[in-house]
Amino acid sequence: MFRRIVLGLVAGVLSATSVFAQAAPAAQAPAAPSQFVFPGDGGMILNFVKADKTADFEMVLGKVKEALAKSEKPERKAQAAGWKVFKASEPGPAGAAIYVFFMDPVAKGAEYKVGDILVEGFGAEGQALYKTYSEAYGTPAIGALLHLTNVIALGK
Amino acid sequence: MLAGVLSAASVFAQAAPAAPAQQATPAKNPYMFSADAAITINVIKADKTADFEMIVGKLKDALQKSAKPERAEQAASWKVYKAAEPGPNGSSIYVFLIDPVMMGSDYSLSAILAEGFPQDVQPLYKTLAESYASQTILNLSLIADLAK
Repeated sequence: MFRRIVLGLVAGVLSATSVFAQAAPAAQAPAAPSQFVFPGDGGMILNFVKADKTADFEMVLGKVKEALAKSEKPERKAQAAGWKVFKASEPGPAGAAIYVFFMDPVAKGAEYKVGDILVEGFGAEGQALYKTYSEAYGTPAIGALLHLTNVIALGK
Repeated sequence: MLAGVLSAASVFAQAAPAAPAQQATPAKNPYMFSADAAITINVIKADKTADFEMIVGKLKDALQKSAKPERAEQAASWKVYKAAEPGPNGSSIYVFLIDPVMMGSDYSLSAILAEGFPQDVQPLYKTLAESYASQTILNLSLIADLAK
């Protein structure tokens, strides 16, 4: 047996990849590239959602899907084409549910900001939906946001 | 950071532990996935990425040359990515995405390498084990495919 299951924490692991959903910058700063643009082959976001807010979170994700489907922007269609949402069987911190966004292929140059997609699709209602979405997040909100490059597809 | 988080899902690769003093209940194999898809987040030591990628190449060879039909099926939905973001202590993060999962199949790298390279499995597995800083496994149910 070469492995040991560790029932505990993956303590402080993926440095420099934590993003919290909200928080506007306090002062004017040079615009950094958006973390929600994926220049490589894929992207992955681990979202931690309060245990009692999963229905809200999933409801809003349904609206995101609707907004992407009805958008006339080709990049929104391209985003939808490679974007899957999964729920993990394993719990996150403080009993949070872990939702994984996996994007492959990514729409080059497109920003995967849920708030923007909702407002584009639903206007003022989109803002209310985004509030519901934001309030569903646990602490931390996002466990990892990774910009991915294909190394190998084992079947090819 | 992958903020201090994933209970019951972390596996650390390491050298073989000593044999248990008495018979224990066999633990569930964490590499027999139980949902639609699975990811493993593999944190690889900074100076061991070439070793890890060499093993991934061997993994592909073993899957492709296997006479077992399920190995080809496993390979068909198994992708390996590297993250642009560094892990702790300059480590590299490799993500395995398996979508869809082949239920009932064992995705243990050690088992696949042993099948494909029975003569070399010990040194290969030693190299693999020494490359790991940590590993996190998530079994995933599909909630939405935003294209469908």
